Amino acid sequence: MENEREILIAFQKGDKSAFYKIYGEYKNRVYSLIYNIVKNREKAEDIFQEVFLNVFKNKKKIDPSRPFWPYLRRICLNATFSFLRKEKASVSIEKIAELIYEDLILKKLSDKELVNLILKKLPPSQRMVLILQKFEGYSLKDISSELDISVKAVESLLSRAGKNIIKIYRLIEERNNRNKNYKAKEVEKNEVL
Amino acid sequence: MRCSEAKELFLIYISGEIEDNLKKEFEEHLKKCTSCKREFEILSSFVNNIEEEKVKVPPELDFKTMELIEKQKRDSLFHQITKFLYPIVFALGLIIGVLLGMGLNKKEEDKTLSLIKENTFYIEPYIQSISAEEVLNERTE
Repeated sequence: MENEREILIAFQKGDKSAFYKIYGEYKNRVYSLIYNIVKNREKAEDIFQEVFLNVFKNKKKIDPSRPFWPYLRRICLNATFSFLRKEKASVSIEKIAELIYEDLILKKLSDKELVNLILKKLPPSQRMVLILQKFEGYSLKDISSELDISVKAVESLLSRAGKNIIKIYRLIEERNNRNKNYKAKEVEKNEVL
Repeated sequence: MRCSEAKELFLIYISGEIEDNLKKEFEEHLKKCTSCKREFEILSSFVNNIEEEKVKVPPELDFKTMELIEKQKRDSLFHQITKFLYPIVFALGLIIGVLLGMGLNKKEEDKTLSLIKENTFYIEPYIQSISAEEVLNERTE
C-alpha cells in the first residue's frame, strides 16, 4: 500500500476513509488466511469481523513506522488460534478416512483435491501449522512466537499432523483393497453361477 | 533410530528444520526401512500438493463488518459521553438532594416555630403568674 505510514496515521486520528483504504487493501488477504486455516465460511467470517473490530478498537497500538501486514497477521492468527482452541475434535480419524474415501469414489478426486480434502479434515491446530509453513513461510520458531506456544509444542503438532495424514492414507488404501477384494469375490461368484 | 522416532520427524524433516545430528540418523533410517520411506514419500507429496484456496471476501461480509464497526463507534461515543457526563450528573444530583433537604428542613423549622408560638401563647400568662421561688419549691418537693 502506497503511503501506508500516512494512511495509518490518518486512521489513528479517526479518518474514516483511511480505515476504508486499510480494509480494502488487506481484507482478502486476511479472509484467505483465516479461511485456509479454518476451512469453513461461517467460522472464517466470524473471525474476520473480530479481526477488523480489534484493529479498529486498538488503533492506537499500531506503529505506523512499521509494515502493517505482520501486525495484522498476528491479530489474525491470535483470533483464529483462540477460536480453534475452543473447538474440540469430535470425529475420529477412522470416520474421517471413511468420509474421504466415499468422496474419493463418488467424485473421482484428483491428487490435489484429495490433499485439500484431507487438509480440511485434519484437526485445525495441526492444519494451522502446516498452512503457516507453506503459505506464510514461517519457521517453527516463528509459529511458536506467533501462537505463543513452545517450539516443542509446534513440533508435536507437526508430528501429530504427519501421523494423522499417514493414517488417513493407510485407511483409505485398506478400504480400497477391501472394496477390490469384495468386487473380485462377486465376479467369482457370478462366474460359478 | 526406531520407526516410531522417525515417524515423529517426517514433517519436521520436510520443513528443513531438523537438527543436524537427527538428520543423519533419520536419513540412515530411511535408507534401511522401506515402510518408513514409503510413508515419508506420501507425506512429501502431500506437502507439495498443498495449495492455498484463493477466496475473496463476500460483499455481505463487507457490509456486516462495516456495520459492526459503526456500532462500535456509536457505542464508544455513547460510552465517552456517559463517562464525561457521569460526574456532572452525580454532582447535580447531590446538589439537588442537598437543596431539597434544606427546603424540607426549613419547612419543619417553620412548623416548629409556629407550634412554639401557639403553645407559648397559652402558657405565657401562667409562667408570668408564678415566681421563680415557687418553681424551685415545686422541684424540691
